[in-house]
Amino acid sequence: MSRVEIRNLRKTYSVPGGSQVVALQDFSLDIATGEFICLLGPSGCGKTTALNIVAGLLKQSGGEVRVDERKVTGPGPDRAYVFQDYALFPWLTVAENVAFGLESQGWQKTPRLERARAILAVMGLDKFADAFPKQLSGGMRQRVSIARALAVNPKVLLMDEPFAALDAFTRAQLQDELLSIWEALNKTVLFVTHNIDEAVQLADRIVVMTSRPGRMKLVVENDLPRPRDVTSPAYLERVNQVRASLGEEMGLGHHKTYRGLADILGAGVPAPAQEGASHVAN
Amino acid sequence: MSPIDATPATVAEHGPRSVMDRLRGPRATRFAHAAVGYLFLVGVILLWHLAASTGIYPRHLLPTPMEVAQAVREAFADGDLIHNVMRSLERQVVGYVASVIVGLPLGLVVGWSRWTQSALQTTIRIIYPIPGVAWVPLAILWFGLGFKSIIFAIFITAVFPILVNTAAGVAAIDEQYIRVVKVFGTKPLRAFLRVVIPAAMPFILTGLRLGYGTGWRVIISAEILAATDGLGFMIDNARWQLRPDLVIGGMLIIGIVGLLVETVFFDWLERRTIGRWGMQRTD
Ligand SMILES: Nc1ncnc2c1ncn2[C@@H]1O[C@H](COP(=O)(O)OP(=O)(O)OP(=O)(O)O)[C@@H](O)[C@H]1O
Ligand SMILES: [Mg+2]
Repeated sequence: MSRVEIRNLRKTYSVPGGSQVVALQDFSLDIATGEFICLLGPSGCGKTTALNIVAGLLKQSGGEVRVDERKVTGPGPDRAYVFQDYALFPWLTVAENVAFGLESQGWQKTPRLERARAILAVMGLDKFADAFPKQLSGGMRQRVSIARALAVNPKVLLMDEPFAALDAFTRAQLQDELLSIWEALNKTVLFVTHNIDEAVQLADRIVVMTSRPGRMKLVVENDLPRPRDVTSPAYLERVNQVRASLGEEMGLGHHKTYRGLADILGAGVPAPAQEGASHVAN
Repeated sequence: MSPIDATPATVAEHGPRSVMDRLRGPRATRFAHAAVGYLFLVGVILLWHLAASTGIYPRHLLPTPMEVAQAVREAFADGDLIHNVMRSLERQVVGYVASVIVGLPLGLVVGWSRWTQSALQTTIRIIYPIPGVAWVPLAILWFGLGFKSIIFAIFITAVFPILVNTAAGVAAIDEQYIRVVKVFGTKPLRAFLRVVIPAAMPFILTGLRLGYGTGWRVIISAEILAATDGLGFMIDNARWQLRPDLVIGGMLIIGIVGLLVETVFFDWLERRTIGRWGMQRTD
């Protein structure tokens, strides 16, 4: 039984000028219940497009998505989304933000805030329940955003590069926390990233996509036992395997000759020494 | 510092900084800036005093600051000033509230749909530049001299900045908020109240402030043309009595009353809302 079935998904965008961009083609994927999938690919290959179609935010040009056999025609309470830019409402307190999905489903104020606070407490964020998002660091905001997605108890968690804007330390913490949540709730997770290490760290399966139009290039079964030891040879081998596949996709290792550049910049003529590095007169 | 993680300094915490400050680093304190402002004002008053008392300009046309203060004090003592201030404020409040009641919901609707925007745009663009006082002759024809004409002039002046800015705010809502609403399936009315209006708040506040300011300016002009009391009438009447001290005194009162509401009230409102939320407009 598979929770999420993606069949022959195709998406074309029309761009100004009348031409069409094929963002996604022949994209198929079966995701089992409780599986953690990472979608990995170069920038612009259609990862967000695929995720948004699964979320129901975007209409596909062809193919279909089914969640528990039911065809996706729009957003639904079975799927929640965590955005890269958090997308918290600055005018709502942290607790109100977490409760927003429940509020949208018609929950009364007291029960929805109680539930939000309870979730925040488990995540160690209860001190900030009454703060506004602007008072929180980026990492905390993203945790609040995850709490908001969890609050409606979705079956599938869709995450679009949720940790891309965070520093390496915060990112590692949030990856860890996400895994704890995932192990506790056994949600199906579709997680978009362009960070190889992150994918190997998190996923059960890594779906490597080709550059545009995005297709499936390779699926890497990532069965390393958790918690994953990032220094173990097996781990490094897995990272290298994915890196090789992705590097090939991006045409790395074939250096272009940029000889003309030196002429343009007048190479050979040393730049005049500058007094003071600042452009701003004091 | 609160236990909460430090985030990049926002405008809300430090106030708007000039380009010079941002390039050089904030050397001068806020206090020094305020002091410079008051000192300059004192300088202007001193120059005025010198110009008036030396008689460079005919004394009966340019009174000294002290004489103006005296005139204001007298007008205050016999109740005239208070009466006129209250009359002007009353008109302002009635006309302004009406323009908010009409302009705000209309702006929300207009901003919501591309079609209403396109439909109204051209018409509004032609009407918008007509100064409020230019409506007064028509208002007098329609409603006669007095309260109704003035209310009409303020209403028509204030309603457009409120409408246009509110619509712009709704149209400019960040796509990410719309996506959240879609993902959670928020019903339209709730989405409007909980998301669209607060998200448009920086623009709405700008509209409310602008509407109030232009309304206040128009009220004075309208009272000069079409009233028998109010601050506008008061200074025009003082002109007929050849009382430049009262003319200038009245003008200063108009400025100060305007300042109190436009700056003090709206600054407070802004701090309470978008300031607290960290959504100040920086453009
Ligand atoms: N609304 C749109 N109109 C036209 N073209 C679009 C639109 N949205 C995306 N595209 C194009 O479709 C392709 C896929 O976009 P998408 O955002 O899905 O890529 P992505 O893999 O998420 O990239 P990134 O890693 O940069 O987030 C890109 O080439 C992009 O330029
Ligand atoms: Mg993307």
